[in-house]
Amino acid sequence: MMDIDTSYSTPRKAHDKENHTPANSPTKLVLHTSPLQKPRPYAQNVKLHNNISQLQPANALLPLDFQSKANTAKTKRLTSVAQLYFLDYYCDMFDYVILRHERARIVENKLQTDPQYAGNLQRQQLEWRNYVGRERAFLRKRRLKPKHRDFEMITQVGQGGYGQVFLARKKDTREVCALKILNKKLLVKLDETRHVLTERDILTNTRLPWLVKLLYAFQDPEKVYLAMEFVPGGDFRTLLNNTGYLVPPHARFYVAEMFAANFLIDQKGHIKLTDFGLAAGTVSNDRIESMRVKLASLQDIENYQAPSKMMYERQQLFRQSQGHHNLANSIVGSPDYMALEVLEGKNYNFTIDYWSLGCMLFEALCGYPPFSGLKQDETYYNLKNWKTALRRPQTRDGRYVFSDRTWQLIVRLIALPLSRLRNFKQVQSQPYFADIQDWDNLRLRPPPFTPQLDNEEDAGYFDDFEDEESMAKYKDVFARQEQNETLLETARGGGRRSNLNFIGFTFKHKLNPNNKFPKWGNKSLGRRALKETAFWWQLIEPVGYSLLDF
Amino acid sequence: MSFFQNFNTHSLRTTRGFKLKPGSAISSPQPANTTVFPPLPKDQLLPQESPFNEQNNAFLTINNTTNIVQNVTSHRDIRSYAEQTLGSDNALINAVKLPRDEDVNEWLAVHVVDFYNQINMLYGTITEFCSPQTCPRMIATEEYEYLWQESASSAGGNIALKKPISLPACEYVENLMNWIQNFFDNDNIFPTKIGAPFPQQFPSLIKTIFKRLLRIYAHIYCHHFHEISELGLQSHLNTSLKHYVLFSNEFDLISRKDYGPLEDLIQTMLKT
Repeated sequence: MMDIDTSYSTPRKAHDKENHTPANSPTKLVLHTSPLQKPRPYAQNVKLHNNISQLQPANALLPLDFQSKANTAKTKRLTSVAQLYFLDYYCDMFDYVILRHERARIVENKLQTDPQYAGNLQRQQLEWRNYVGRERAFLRKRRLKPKHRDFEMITQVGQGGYGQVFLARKKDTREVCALKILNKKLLVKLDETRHVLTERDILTNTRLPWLVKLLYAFQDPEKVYLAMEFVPGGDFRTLLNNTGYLVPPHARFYVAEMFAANFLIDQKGHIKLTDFGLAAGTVSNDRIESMRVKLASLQDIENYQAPSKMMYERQQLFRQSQGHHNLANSIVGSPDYMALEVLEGKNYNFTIDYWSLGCMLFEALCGYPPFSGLKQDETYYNLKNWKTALRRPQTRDGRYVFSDRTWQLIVRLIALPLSRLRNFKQVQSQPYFADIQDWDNLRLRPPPFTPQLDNEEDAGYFDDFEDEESMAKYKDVFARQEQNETLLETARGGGRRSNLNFIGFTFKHKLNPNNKFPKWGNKSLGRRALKETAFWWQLIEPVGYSLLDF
Repeated sequence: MSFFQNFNTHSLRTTRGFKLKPGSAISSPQPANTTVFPPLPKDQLLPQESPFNEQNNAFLTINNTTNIVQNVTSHRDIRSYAEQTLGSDNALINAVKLPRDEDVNEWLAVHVVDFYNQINMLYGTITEFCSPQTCPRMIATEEYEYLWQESASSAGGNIALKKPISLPACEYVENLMNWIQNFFDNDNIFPTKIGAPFPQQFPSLIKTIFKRLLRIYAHIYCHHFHEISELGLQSHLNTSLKHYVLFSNEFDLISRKDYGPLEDLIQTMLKT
């Protein structure tokens, strides 16, 4: 009798959208097949109710600012995280109790009936002790939160202003993952906490084949850690970088997937596109603000010159301009892919992602994003004058690089908000995608590129962080990290003690090998934890660990 | 807030300096050296002499019954799920029982961590409503105030207890949670290696932790129940407390005198 509120009728609908308790959860099974609970005895409710009433101070009313406080992003997030947590916790806890009971019964039964043990008291005791020991070890594992020292680092695969990404292996389960480590104080200082929490919430509440799976999330006093499924193929950016550009069918392949991914996420409802991915929401407000200032501060130039439409010239320029283009976060938070209205501080909606996708399609096909210039200023000018700057690339002999239908799609994506494509249906019906019959089964198609991997620890598709030459392109990132750290050191004098405990952060995925009771002979332990997955779709950069700077 | 500077129970917090610059060898952090028990700060319960006690409570009963429990329609399925699950056949009573031949310390350990997390979640949702302005003291009704006592090591390594102080509820809660977290992080108290034993003092430490965690429930029930119920979390709170008291009752972790203002509520919960 825990609840005092019976003022509404209990809905019967099973809750199954957001939690990850395995489908075979005995708790759920019992719940979903059992008839509705009898209403609680009235007297009991009243009693509990009175007990609580007596505790309330005189004239207690909700504080006047209750609604405004209750509606803060922080409270809303914590409330739903808490609700989810309790649901998950009790499912899990009862599962444990039921299954443990079951296991004990099986062992007891075996000791009675199996001729190996029946009648042999010593053997029975030994076997029972064995079983109890395994239960105890299992129980201990349930208690433990993941810690940094549970992971051995294999190699670094990413670097950003807030921290690093490592290819790592969880020692006990042997799971290989990408471990993203971020500095808490920096996140707090630069007001980025929300982004990390959003990322964590999205990854724990959503299961889409397009999203990198979150395996563990945890923290210690200084850092937060997100251990994610390792996507060995590298990201889209790295792919483009290695190949220069893609042949049209391959580009179509990936672009179709990106649209489909966006659509699915959109469909789910609880994720707004602008929360992550390519859209502005994942980019720090500071970052956008500085881009806005930059854009606004551009002097009007008398005779703006649109960039060349000659593909090879632009490719060359783009390669030369790599200095201001750091690869680690070039897609997210770079003016190259950002719709103009975002940087103008105007209202915008999810279609800004379509703009970004248009820019990526453009780049995928010819090797440079549409507004790229030699200097960053040029990029801003091009963006500001995007209508003239967006030019259909041509080869030396005057032929167009893009087919008509490709160009037709691009100009419906890189377009004024009102004439931009607005939904997935519109996207699907574009002639560019005419060859794609089955949008539902995109992931079944053979990928144009399959990473060649030596083993599950192969990070060959990522930049080598031991290699100085390949690190040159991260110059900006390292510079920013240093800048951030200086910022922290100067701030340290302030002495204000801030609470750096992120509530509602820790997460262990339900399929983690520690969550399964070891079978006889420990067979299920040490087994490769990561499912064999097709790698091709993972090339697309969703919310992955390459987006270090949000 | 100068006392934070000398707050010594934090001294054993594990620090993992892990900074990897390009070129440096990849390394995993070393386990922190945590071989000493952090001293137990002793906080005290001060039953205050209040002239109004009796009347006050009686008055409240009449006054407040109507506006406390209503509303809450969001997350219906979660609610009903929790209710149905927990209401059925006293599932919780069975769930807290020690499985045959299980080590009682292991059972206590896993549960204290779970309850800690639950309270952390619940209190987390009302952090906006529990500030030094709204709750300048850690009280549960006007009758009970919980004082915080920190300890400072003197030069000789002896643990000196400082004078118990009155703290805003939020700071008290934070101190308490940090204090507990330090035990959790200490491998000698909450062993992580398979087969490593619990220390001898473990059961008595668990009792202390349980006694103190109950104060957070008490503060929430007495001063933030409105907010909790408006946020749609009252069944979660009730479930959590019921689970908590059933567990502590099963293993005799909290003595009745420590129930404080929650005495009646707990008795009701235990009877169901």
